Amino acid sequence: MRNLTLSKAVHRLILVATTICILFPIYWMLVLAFTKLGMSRSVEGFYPASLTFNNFTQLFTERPMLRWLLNSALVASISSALSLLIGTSAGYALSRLHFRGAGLIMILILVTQMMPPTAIVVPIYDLFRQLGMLNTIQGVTLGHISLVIPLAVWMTKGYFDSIPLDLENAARIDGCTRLAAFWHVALPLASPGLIVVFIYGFVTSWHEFLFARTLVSQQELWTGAVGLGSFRGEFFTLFEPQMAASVVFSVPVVLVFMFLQRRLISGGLAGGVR
Amino acid sequence: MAEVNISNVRKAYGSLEIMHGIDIDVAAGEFVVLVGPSGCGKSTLLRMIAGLEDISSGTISIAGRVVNDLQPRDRDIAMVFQNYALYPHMTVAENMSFSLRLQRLGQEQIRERVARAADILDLSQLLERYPRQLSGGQRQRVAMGRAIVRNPQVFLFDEPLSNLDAELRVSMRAQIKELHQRLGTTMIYVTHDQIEAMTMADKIVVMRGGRIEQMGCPLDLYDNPANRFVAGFLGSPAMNFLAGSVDGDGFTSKSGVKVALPANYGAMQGRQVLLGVRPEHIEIVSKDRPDAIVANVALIEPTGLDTLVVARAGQEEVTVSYRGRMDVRVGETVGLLRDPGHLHLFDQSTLARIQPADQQKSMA
Amino acid sequence: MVPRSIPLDARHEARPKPALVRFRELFSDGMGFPALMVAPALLTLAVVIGFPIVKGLILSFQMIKLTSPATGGDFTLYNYVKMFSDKNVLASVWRSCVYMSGSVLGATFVGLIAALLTRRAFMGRSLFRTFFILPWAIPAVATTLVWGVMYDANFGVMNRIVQLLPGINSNIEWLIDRDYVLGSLIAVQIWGDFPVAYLFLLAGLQAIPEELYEAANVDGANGWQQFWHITAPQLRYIVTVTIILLGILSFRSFAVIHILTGGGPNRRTETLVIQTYNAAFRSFDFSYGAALGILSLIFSVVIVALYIRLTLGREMRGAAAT
Repeated sequence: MRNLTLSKAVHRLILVATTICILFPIYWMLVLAFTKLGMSRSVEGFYPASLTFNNFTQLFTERPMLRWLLNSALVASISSALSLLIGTSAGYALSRLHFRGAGLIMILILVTQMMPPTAIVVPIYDLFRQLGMLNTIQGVTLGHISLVIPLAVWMTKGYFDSIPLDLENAARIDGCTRLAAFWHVALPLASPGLIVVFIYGFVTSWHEFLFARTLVSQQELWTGAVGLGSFRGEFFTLFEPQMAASVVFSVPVVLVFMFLQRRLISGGLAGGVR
Repeated sequence: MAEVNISNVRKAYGSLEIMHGIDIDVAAGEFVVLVGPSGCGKSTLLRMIAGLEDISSGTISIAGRVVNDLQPRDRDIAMVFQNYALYPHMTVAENMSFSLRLQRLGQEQIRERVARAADILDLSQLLERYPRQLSGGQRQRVAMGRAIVRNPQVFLFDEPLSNLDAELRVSMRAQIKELHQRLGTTMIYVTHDQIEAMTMADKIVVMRGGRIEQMGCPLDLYDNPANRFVAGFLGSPAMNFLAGSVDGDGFTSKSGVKVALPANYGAMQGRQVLLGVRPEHIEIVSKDRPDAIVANVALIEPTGLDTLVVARAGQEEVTVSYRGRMDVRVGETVGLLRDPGHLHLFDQSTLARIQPADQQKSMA
Repeated sequence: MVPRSIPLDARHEARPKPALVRFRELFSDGMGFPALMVAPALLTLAVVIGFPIVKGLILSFQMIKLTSPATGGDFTLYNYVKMFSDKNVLASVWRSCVYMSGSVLGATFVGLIAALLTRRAFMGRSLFRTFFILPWAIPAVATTLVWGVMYDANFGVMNRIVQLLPGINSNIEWLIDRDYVLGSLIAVQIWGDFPVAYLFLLAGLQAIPEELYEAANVDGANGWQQFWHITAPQLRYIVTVTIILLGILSFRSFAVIHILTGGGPNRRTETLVIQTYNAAFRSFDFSYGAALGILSLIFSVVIVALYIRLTLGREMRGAAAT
């Protein structure tokens, strides 16, 4: 019995220590975000010396933070929605229909999902330069679609795999074409999963840095991820507003993750393992 | 009501053939049960009739129309699936009316048909529920309701009772049979349970390894199984088999147990055979009777209704089913007396039934 | 009494269908259906990925530099010759490997610890689970920036933390000192990636039947023996998958290195991905950047091949066994 309480205490001790290590950077981000401009250099301990909300208000008054957030939201929702639209039907076909070349298509899509975006960013930049698509929201969105579609195909395939095939068979006997069975039965049943896929796509695009950074140079077309970097000067970095911007930019995704934790986790595993 | 004709149907994956030329004729209004061990091809065959599986060669026709190239929705059939396949996002009423809505029938007509089917199946109180709110038996009935509102030419059942508990299974068995008598529609029913097959079928098709072993009316198959497999598959407890040979006036098993055979088996001297006797065709008598086989009681299983006795004669183990109670003990020596009218002989190499020389006489 | 049969209203007869209907059914019900479903995704992927890859191949066999007008589109092997003789390429491939191994090992280790700590139910477990996936939700750019602030050699909190340890009392230049810089970056990568390992390993742990541990308890195995003889073998497959996925994540990693060091100091942290970017967007040698891009593409194909052998191969063996 004593042995058990001892092992319990050890467990809690390691748990708390690990948690502190893991959460410290987030804590520190918050501390600096609420520290007065320029004062982070003189923070001595591990807790804030003074608190201010100024950094946050400044983001929206002196910097185009709102604009960047809206750009991010626009790019993320369009690229994720389009990818979902296009990816769902492919995910369904790969889950249900055993046609020639299905295996090859899955492997190709996996390769595109796993390759580093730097492998294509150079030619994409060159193409966009020739097509006049640099410095456009559409350009970034297109770039993000290339990242999100493979994810959408694999994840939706996972969801359709989990729906019993006999439901669609029953629908086909009841009078549906294959297309109608997909529409009336498979799609409504997969819709909770499709929401998860949409969120993953949205977050992927929201977080994305490389394309957003290279394909756009005009400040008012930046996404939040690029905007965060703008507080770094050649010689001097404005730590406090930078951290405030990081907090603002992280909060929406963190909230979504906290509220939908369970569903997102199982969805992520389904998409990842398969 | 429609007849279904399956003729020389084969299915192959590449060079691997899994259905080897199936021929079945189902008369209009007939209740046919496809039965066999798992992997025998019965479900695949049913799915081929439904159009959910491709046919490699041969033809299937429903009501005289070849349906090989028709989609499931054009075949005018309904199917009840093993796991019911109810649409989880639709209520019971929506599940049942789905096919009618696809046909774009009028609201009024749909309501009327659903109400009538719900009435037959005692589902009227459940129409607004979702499948997840129903018990197993209720789901099963909804699945049947979804089939009967269609008023199809043929009903297909794919092991519809295998997910129910034993008690419910027996009552649903009766309900389905009653439904068949009421609707008079052709039904094709797949099961691995030989009792379901025996009790429900007008015609049983016993399948194994993608082939038909025997087909016919249940009692005919029971009394005259075409081969060892059918003999052993139908009937519970299963038929006893003794390996041995025919010599002199009867059969001698490998360990020397002798069983007298009717005279019409006399022409088979020296042939290696399997002797089959159903447990209910053996009687336990006093060990002193001269015509009895002496055996040792190894195990007694009283079920209340009848008593199963496993007895050993030499190396052979024989199950005897005895109606009522019996006063024997394990270890006791008893005499076994087979009923001479109900012996089956199977060839040991082909496993096919050996017909006695004069069938009429032995039956009489 | 219920009537014998429900009346029919519209039993459709087997009539031949008009050509237009048959054409439509080819795509809604027939041979054309898979094509209809897959085509949009394939077309889009061809445009946004396939086309750029082809374009990248072409670029890599040309001499396109943004800085010099004296460049041209004539076929040349120059970039590949340069790539194979450039010792910086070999060095950055090696650095990619070091960076990957460090990040993968670290993230797997931290993820495993976190998973072991939260595998069984206790009060507040879901709270700790949220804590452990939180770094995943934070954008890599924000993660990188806060670590950058923490790493600041003069004012950063990292130096204050390590100086709590005995024996360290001078400030370490985390992102400049050549002995520390790669390790500093790997720590950031680990912090951002370990939640992936955590989720996979937690799922893997929870899939191990509890009876195995009960049986081991009855047999008198201690905690360490249980881990070694039950947990480790049962987790082998999922650990392998996790390692490959983490490897891909760290191989692709761009924001962390680009923002913190840009590949410096003196190329100490220049991985293949960073070198590709720098060649194209710092030296403006597009053709060389494209050639390096092709090289990293080949690398990822190798990783994917490994991944497929492990996962799909397993699935197929599973399917064959049934």
